[in-house]
Amino acid sequence: MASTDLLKGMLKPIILKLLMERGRMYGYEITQLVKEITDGEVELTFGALYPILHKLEKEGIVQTEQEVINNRNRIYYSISKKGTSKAQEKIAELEEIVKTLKVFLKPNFGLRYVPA
Amino acid sequence: MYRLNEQQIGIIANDVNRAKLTITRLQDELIDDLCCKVESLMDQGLTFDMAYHQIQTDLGIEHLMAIEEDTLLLTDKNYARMKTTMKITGNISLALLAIGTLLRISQVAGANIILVIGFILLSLIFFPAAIFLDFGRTEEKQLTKRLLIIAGCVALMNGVLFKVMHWNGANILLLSGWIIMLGIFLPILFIKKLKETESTKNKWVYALGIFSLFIFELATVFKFFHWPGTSFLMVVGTFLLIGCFLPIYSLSILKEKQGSLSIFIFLIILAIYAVTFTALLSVNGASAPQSVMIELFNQSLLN
Repeated sequence: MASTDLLKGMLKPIILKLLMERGRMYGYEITQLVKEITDGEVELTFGALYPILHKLEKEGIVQTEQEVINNRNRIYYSISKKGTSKAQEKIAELEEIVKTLKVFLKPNFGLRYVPA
Repeated sequence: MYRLNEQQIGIIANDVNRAKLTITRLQDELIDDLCCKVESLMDQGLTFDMAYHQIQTDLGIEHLMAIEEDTLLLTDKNYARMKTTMKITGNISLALLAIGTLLRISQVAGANIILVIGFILLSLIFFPAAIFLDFGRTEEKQLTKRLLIIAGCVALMNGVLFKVMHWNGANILLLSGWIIMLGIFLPILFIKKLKETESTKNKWVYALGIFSLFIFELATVFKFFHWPGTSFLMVVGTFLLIGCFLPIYSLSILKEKQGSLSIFIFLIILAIYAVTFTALLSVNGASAPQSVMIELFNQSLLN
């Protein structure tokens, strides 16, 4: 199971990537998709998810739509027109971080010389 | 896929509503999320009760409130700033008032300036910051009522400062503060608690708490105006508040709430501080805390 502390800073781009791929999604759907994609390695709690979704909306990156489904209100999130470039930027940032982190996992950090 | 019926959704919604979240949309999202979790568990063959039992950890009032707090801290910069200001000034003012009171009792120089700074921080920075945070979560129709209560509390706080410093105007400030507190704030609090509380037993506990607070504050007013019966009211008020209400409250209501320890510690400190400080103030001249109780009992014996 992946550590929530390690993932915290990466949640925003992860959520944005999901929304870019799937169009519109609601909270529970996002948590389940993350679980499915990662084979249960990453469990996104609703305590971590909703504050970030609200922040993304405040920043104008995502927009919301409300619908009544099965006698209860459901809020759908999707990337706003204005937020598309910002979302792409955040996802690119995540790719850069992952690329950089991979270097640390290489033997001798991928360096050719042997330190004295 | 299993679909919850209206009654089952109502049970979950009621539990979420107990947290009294102010961001309505977040509340809707949490209800929907929990309903989805229950439906998913019921798809695996669990009954509603079993599935509902499994998601109980997500339903804790403190947990739901923490989610709202995180949301507010992330989305509202002013909220985050005010929260920090409130915490810092609250701690500093409390420390300054405690040190100032001790120095004043010991008749050490510098007590007055420490008390003044403490009161200024408390009434002009800490209190407005606390109210600002609360206003963000209050409906507009409550605004006038709230403003009146704030004015009363600020008047009471400054009245205490003016009285301690022997400045003019203390009487007017204290009197207006007491009128608002005893005539408006406590009755409103009483009605609100009775409306909010479902259990009859808890209604009695809240009624006892508000009644003892009323008696205690009334004793302070009596003492201030040198009216007869002060000591009796003070002893009865203190006994009801510390000897009856706090133990019953901690054994019944706090037990039902999760994470009650912090609230309990806060209540104890607040009660001790309020009783000691108010009792000290109600005795002429600066004297040691022990002598306050001795004087109270002596007066009650004389009366």
